[in-house]
Amino acid sequence: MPCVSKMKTIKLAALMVLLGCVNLSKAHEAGTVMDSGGTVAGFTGYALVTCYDNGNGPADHLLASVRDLSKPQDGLLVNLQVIKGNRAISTTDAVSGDASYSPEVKIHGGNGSYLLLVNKTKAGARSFAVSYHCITASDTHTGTDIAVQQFE
Amino acid sequence: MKKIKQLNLFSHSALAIAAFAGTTQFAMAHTRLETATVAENTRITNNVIISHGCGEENVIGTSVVFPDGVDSTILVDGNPHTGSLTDFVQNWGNLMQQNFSTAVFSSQDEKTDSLGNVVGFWAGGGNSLPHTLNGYIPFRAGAVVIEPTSCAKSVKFYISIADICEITDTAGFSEATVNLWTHNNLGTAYDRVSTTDDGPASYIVTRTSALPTSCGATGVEVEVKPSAAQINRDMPIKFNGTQVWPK
Repeated sequence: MPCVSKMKTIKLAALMVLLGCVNLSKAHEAGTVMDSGGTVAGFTGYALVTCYDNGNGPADHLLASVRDLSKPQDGLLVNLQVIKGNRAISTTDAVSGDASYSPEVKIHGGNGSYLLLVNKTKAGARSFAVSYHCITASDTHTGTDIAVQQFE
Repeated sequence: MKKIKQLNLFSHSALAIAAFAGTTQFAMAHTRLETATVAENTRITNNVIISHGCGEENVIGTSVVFPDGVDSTILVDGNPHTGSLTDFVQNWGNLMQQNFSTAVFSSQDEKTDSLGNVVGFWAGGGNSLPHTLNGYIPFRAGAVVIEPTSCAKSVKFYISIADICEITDTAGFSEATVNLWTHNNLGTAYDRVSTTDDGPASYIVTRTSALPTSCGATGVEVEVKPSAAQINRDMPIKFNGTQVWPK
């Protein structure tokens, strides 16, 4: 991940990697390293995903999952929570370092802003990726944007 | 007699048109957005339109800054609001993304905050923009979501722009070196010299959802202006990590 090494700070790395540096297979999959120093148990990434009608129709729900790319470490797992209005859901990648994402979760919130939180169970650096897609009622991908609010 | 009156009318009209369209230099258009008003929850392709140079000097680059919403000044019906922008807008941040184009200038890049969210962009280099022509600098304006529980019926963001005709330090700013489409009262070196605060381009997001009944029938108009600290931080242009404007 050479682009990460160029970043001056992990905060700056967050969105640049989320939005462009990682060559993941398709759009709206993103990742970086959290708690690079391995000392912050409460490290939390917080982003807003905006769902809107980009011509494919209004969003019905957000599909999201998380993948822990680091080697397995006992008791250290990565978790993703998604919140929209009075609804919330979470998913955990139970097997670190493999090719699979966590179980995909869906939250029906229509168009608007969805809160995404990524955290982990204890201190330790974790390379991770998040998949997030705004989907219409007819199962078509529609407008999806992201902004990082916090990465510390 | 009738013919003479018609000729006189034609002559007066021609004089009027000539005066307004070409022979006077008073009404120079400000740099503005191609689309200045958009409904919430709508993404559009937009352009910063540079409409003239610095007098007879061509434009060699432009610097654009959007209020970040973090330490911005927020006005509600013209009165200061002490709360945060999230009281009125759910998702402000990283919504304005520059589109690649070498139609006007050869180089460009986005400006980001400490989290990597885009807060502005610049374009420059290559052939200069002739001072008599329009230059379109394209960007994508993402969907803005007005907080549905708020009373905001519209949110106006003030976008600060500097059209650069000559690279100088801030002491060298003049009508011949830079056109500052910025606020006139922030106390920065980038402030527009003007008696009225009419410099920045505006981008107005209008509400489409129903107002809560507690808001009454009209709702409120929200305005968002950048802080002086943000302008000082984000207005300079950096190229490969080195500041190239101002010197």
